[in-house]
Amino acid sequence: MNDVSKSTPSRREFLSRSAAAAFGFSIVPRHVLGGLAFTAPSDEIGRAVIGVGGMGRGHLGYTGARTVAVCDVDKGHLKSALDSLDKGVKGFGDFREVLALPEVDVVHIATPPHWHGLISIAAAEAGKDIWCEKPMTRTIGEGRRVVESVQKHGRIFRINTWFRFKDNFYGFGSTVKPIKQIVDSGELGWPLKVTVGSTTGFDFKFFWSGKTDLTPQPIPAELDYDFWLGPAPDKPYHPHRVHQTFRGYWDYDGGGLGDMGMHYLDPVQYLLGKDDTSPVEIEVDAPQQDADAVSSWRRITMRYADGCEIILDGEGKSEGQPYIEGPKGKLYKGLRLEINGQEKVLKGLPEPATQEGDFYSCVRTRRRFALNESNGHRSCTLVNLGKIAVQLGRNLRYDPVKEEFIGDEEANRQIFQPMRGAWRV
Amino acid sequence: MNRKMKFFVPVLMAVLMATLAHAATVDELLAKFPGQNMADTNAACAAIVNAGVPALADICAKILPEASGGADLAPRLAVSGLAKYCGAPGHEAARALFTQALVDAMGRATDPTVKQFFAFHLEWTGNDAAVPALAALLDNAATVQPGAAALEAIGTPAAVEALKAKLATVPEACKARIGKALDVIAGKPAAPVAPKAAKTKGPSARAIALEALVHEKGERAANELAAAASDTDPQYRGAALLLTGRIPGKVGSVPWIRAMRAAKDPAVRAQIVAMLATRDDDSAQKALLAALRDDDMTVRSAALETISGGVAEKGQKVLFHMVAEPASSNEMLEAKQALKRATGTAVADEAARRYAKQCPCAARDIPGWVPPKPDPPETRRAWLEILTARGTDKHAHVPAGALQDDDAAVRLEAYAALRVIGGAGQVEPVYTSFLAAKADNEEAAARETLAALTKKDAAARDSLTARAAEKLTSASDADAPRFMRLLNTFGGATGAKALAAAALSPTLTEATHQEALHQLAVWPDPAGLAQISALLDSVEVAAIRISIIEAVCDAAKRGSDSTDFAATVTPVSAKLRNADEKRAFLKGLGSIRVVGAARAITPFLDDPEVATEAGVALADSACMKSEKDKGLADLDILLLLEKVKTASKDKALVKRIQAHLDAVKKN
Repeated sequence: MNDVSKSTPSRREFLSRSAAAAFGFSIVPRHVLGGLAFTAPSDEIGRAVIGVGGMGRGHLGYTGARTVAVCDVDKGHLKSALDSLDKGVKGFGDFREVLALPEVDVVHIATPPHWHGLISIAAAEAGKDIWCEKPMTRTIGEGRRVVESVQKHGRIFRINTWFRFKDNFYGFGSTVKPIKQIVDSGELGWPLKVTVGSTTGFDFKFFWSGKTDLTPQPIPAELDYDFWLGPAPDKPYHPHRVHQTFRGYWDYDGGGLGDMGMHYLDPVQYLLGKDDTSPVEIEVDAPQQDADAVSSWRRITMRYADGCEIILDGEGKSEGQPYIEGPKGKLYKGLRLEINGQEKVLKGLPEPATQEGDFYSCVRTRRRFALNESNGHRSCTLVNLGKIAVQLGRNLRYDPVKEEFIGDEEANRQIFQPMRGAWRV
Repeated sequence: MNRKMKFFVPVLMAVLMATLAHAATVDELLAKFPGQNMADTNAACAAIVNAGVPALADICAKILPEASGGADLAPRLAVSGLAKYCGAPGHEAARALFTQALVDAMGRATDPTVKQFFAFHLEWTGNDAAVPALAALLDNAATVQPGAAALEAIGTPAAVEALKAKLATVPEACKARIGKALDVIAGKPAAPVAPKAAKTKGPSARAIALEALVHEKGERAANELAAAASDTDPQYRGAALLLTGRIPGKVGSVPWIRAMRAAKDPAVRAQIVAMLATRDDDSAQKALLAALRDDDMTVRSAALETISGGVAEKGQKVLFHMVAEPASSNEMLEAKQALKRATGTAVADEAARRYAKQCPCAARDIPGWVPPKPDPPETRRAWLEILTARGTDKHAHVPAGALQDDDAAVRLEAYAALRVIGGAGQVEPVYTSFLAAKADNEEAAARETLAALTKKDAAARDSLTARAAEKLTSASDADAPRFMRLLNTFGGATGAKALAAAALSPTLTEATHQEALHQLAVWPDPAGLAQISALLDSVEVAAIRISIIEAVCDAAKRGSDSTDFAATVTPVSAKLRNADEKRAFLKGLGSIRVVGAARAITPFLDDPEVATEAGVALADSACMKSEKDKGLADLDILLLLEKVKTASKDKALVKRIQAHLDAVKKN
């Protein structure tokens, strides 16, 4: 039975931090606003989506909850979203007003990644459950704070990637389940090496690169650019910095690695049984990176203490390589298996442990979701370790217990990065 | 030329030559950026460091304001490369040189974006040597952010002293950022995020005074904050409530508790309750429990909606009373939710006791025993919901008994509870209820519960499968579907065989046969497909044969990840007797986008009876439908598509295949 933190607010809790009072709202639950005879619909989950410009529009269509509010700092995006929804859905430009709404039980966070940590923490403090886009956080430090806050407030948290428990796994040609069964059978031996790259079915989308020749442009009237930047450094507006192409800038994301990394690497972490740890060595081969604009890299190797390796191949040089290789066997794309040099088909393998894959059901039962704040932080850490090594242009050593780099103060400064203005975690 | 000229001209020439040589060297150094790999980048940075302070100064001088559009790309890359090179372990000497160069450049720069660029790199690699220069940035609203960020990253005692010294002297607009840097370095938790308050560019003087007060901590600060309870300005009151979060413990809570007792306005008392709920000292928790007894519903609700954990456990007597005898339906709902959030086992024990004493199963064969007046169904459901949330297996007998409750909603809640806390001991009562269930949703709940109870007990599952299979052999048309659905829930070869037999049973009608086929088509494991395929050997009636063929394809499609097409689907093609059956088979295979299905179509491409349909089916199976659904790209399938395209007279089909082949080539 899941245990709930000792000071857990309910999923209908009104904002406990008096933020609403600061704004002139009184902190009363919706049943009071509705009068004495009001009966709250006991099973209906109220959802708010924060960030409705790109990925967030998809969130509006997820079944299982009723959208009651949307939020975006771009008035054009906000209007477009509201026009597509039922009358009665509220629209806001400031996520904090959304968190003050008693009828919101769950927030979906689909902003650029530099906001994910801040909004997740604020939502947890406000008593909301959280469905967050990947990457979970832009920095390792923000991830640690999200884990602390979600667990302190007993919230249900999920990341918006799912391959560890359903759907075909990109170009690999299978779901992750049979791969897990093969790994767990021990037939491949241990430790294992996993190669993630174009030849094993994964595209690192290097087209998400930034530009180094941006000149300041007028800010569009419908965009609150100051709020869009939020905690990120104050740099002059250019359309390439925002709305989809933000992915090409270190201040907000980390290129294709930041954008797709958790999709590709979370299942690997699950397959290797590394949900509670991180690699101890990170090796990198990359050209020098600009301080602002992300560009490509060639190879990142992450090694765990027990010898397991994850190789991120950015050049597509792994032709003919297996997806997973161990001392006794190899598993190729398309689920082709070789054990001791012979092709083999394994049947009758035991089922892996069940995973909770229905988020709204978890909201009701308070059971932890399959990809939650804890294992999500670890798989996001894989992404962030790769980003830091690429930016620094050197190999690194990492302590997965203390969650800090060994003997590299400059790398450690990337764990918690200063935020602009009043924003902080 | 006079004597002075004879002296100075050579000197001037020497200086000019040295300057020209130096300038050429800086350009050569910059030409190496960006480095194409770690070794090249390190070598380029080392060369700059070796060229010394003048080279560093020249490179920094080439940094242009942000609006230059990349005209200074090479020097920017050089500076950022140096920041990483000099920050690496073992490069301390280089770091000192680089830091000094950035500090000097920052001092010479006049444009704030250039100062920001240097400060950003001191965030990465700066140390105490950079503190005074960074502190100088704090005086100006245009540069306080990068200066404070770099000092925050450096985080040494010297950085802290510099920040503190500036706090007293800088303009108001700069203070907040400095204060934040001090809090971050000290590891203080972030203040919660309030709407508008943190965003306000010009906070009111009273709010600034409160912020300053909170830095003092202590009883005086707490008393002054709590005095805001009687303030008429809700923004000021809200700010005070918010800031109390920074004064931990009883010191922060007690003045507000006193203020709450004195407040006449229930909305104010409710706000204070909401704030107290976030605190973990005993005084706050006791006040929260006391608020459950407030005269005003607003205040009681404020407490109910936030109470949880150990506090809920302590307050359970009041909470149970609110569930049993609520002032309103919403109060009951909130009290129930609060109990569901309680820690400890006492809450579950009490909920179990309350339901059990009125359960029909508690009927006593005792002379004179009078059953207690039952709680209304909503209350009985509440007890069971609490057991679902907080109960353990030792309480499972209570929901098992509740399966006999008069109320359908209570029975459904009992099933839900058993799925969470039930075990092997509850299988029989659930099975008995399954047999007796009249409504579809109860039958479904019972099946789901049996699946959950036997999930880890293969023997129990096998036993239930055998019993259901046995019942199916003699079931009527009315009862047979119930057992079929139960067998489908469990899956496996035994159940699949029983359904295959039912599909052919002479005692059942065609509608029931169809139900059996449907259940086999949606069987949860490959046993279903194997049985359906085998049925074709035993069935003669054309319509049923078509149904079987369709069921084979449905089952193959459902399990397409794991379906062994070669072993289980392709052999069906040998059993097809006529063109109609072949067409049904091809149509089914065409809906499956998997290489095995496409290959199973292959033999029909040369069958004169159905060659056209086979070509369409292959295209349906293999060709792309959209950017996200790219279809099949295996070489043998592409060759077959090419063959179909060449032979076909259907222009639309040819166009579709060509589009797919073009897309595969492009990718």
